[in-house]
Amino acid sequence: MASVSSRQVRAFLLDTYAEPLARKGISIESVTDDFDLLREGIIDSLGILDMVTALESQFEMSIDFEELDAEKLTHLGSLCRYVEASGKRLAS
Amino acid sequence: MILRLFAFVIYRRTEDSDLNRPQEPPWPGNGAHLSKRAFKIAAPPADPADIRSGELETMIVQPIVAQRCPGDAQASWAGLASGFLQSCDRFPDSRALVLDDVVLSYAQLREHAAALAATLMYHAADGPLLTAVFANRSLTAYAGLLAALFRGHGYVPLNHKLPAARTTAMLRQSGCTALIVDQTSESQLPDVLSGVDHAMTVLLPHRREAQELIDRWPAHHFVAADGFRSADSWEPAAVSSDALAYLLFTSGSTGDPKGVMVTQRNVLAFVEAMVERYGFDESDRVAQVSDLTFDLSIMGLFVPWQQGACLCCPTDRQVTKPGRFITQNELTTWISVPSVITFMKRLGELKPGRHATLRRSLFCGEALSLEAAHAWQAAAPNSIVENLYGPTELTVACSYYRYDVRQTPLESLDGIVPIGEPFPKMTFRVVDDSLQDVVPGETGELIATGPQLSLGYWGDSNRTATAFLRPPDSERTFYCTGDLVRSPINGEPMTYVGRKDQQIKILGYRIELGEVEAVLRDVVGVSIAVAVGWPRTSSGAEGIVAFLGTDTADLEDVERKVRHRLPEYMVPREYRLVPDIPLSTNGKVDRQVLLATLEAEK
Repeated sequence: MASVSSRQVRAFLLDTYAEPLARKGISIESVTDDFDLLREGIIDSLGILDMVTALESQFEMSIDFEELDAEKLTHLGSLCRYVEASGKRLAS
Repeated sequence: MILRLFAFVIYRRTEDSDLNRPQEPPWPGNGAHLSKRAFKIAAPPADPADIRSGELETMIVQPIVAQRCPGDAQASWAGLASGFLQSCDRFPDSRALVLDDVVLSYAQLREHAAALAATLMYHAADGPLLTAVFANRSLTAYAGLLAALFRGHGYVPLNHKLPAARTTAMLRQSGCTALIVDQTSESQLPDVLSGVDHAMTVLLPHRREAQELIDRWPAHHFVAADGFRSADSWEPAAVSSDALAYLLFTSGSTGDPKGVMVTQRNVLAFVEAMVERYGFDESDRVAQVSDLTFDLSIMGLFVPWQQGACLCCPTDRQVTKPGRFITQNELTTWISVPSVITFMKRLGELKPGRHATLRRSLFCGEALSLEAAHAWQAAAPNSIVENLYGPTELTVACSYYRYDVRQTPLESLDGIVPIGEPFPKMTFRVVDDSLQDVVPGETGELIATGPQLSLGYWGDSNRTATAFLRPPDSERTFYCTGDLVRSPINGEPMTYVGRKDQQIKILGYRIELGEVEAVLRDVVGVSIAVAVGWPRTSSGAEGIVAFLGTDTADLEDVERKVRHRLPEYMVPREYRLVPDIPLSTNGKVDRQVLLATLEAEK
């Protein structure tokens, strides 16, 4: 399994949510690490499962989100770093 | 005009117009309290089913005459709120509510609710005996519904997560003239009010003043916190046990949501049965996860409050990590739809032994799979795991089943945990299309009656008459659930088989596919639109796929319009254009062929 960088995770998420972002008039360039997918209405609480599934199938790994706080689960920067760290943990 | 429509159902107060006097008489004794009765009923019935023996239509459509019946033993002080008020007396300083970082004792919550109730009685003395609460997961939401009950009204929960047009429809249908709004919901208030053509009294507890709203909507009456009455000026209102405790809207098959009329008596019977089985005491910390527009919230509110327990309500963000919420709040009781189990499992929050603080886990609202129950029991080894069942029309839940790691697999049907046995005072029958009992072991429709049998659908005697029927061999009226179950053999627990009609469950939300189809036909302008639940899950479906009987449609436009009218969970995930929608031999849409198409693509 290839290692995954938080940059790749970010690119994948922004691509996945390109349509709802565009609908809200948010340009991908303007999205910072502080961007929160839940707060900005890009996903709702139900969408979290879809997001988890999409991440796992894209990066071919199973991610345990237990340690990630509710505040960080949909926070772009935290989420990307968490997925990256999960990949490293699985690889080692 | 709307008011006039509903004037036939509701008595409008005409006396006591002096606003400086207490609007409600204190407790029975002067007899005047009964002038507030919602329905004209000659003699108080022992069982709501009896009301319906041929009288239902009459009762609902007859003009209401204000009457005094001093001898009526059915009037009860404070109704559904009485359990909460008793706990206020017994445990004034115990925690009643934890909302993120806000903690309220019973005495404090009562104070908030009493101030709202006094304000409602002062500023909104007229109108139907219903108060709308447009608030969710906030102090205003919980104090608001208590305030409605404190003043002797039923509450009508509204939700900013639903499209404004739907909320407006509920408000109009209910004829409510009083509305309590919280901060989050206020952003939707202009859209909601613009569709209401009768004068409303709107309470805004989060605002000091409301001048800009007053200027913008001169026809309505706004009261902000500065104009509130003191909690001391609240005097308990007497309530008839046949008055509504809440009016809750569910999906209706013909396109409009329908309001289920649940009385004080119905819900008190429910609370009593729950307390009898599950106990609850002041040491309990109970999850209050459901939105107030979902009747499962009643279970998490009034049952624990009656016993002095503490409710812990997650914020919209905390809901995304339910396991974390359980741990942080050291919850003793979990109440939710079974979908949450799958959700937590996917997020790694359901590892064996992880939730040892839980003593009770109550699942309700959709089918509970054996696999989910098993995973939950392993994660919560000290907890009982219960599967409860019940449609809104039978007041939240009316049957229960206790999961057992050895026994349940033997008793389950197709991997679904049984719905068990009826609450002690409820009566179940399993019948065929002519309402005759089927042979044990056979599948039939579940029909039920008892003290939790609601009054039917608000302002819709036709729908009520269709769903509330008296079997030919019975004197009692039963609610026909539309749920197919297997008639138990020799005291086995009852098992759920499926739906008789086109109703599906998505995440516990009850959805009439006919309602989705009606909106689609209207929006797209086609004569045939079919909605199917897809993909199928053990508890219902993950979402909806729509087939439109046309070869051209502006799907972006359709999507936008549909979102405007239907809640998120009813919006199709996918649209397919099928000019020749397959019809069965009798000319009906052949859903099986459409489902087979989806199945083949898997």
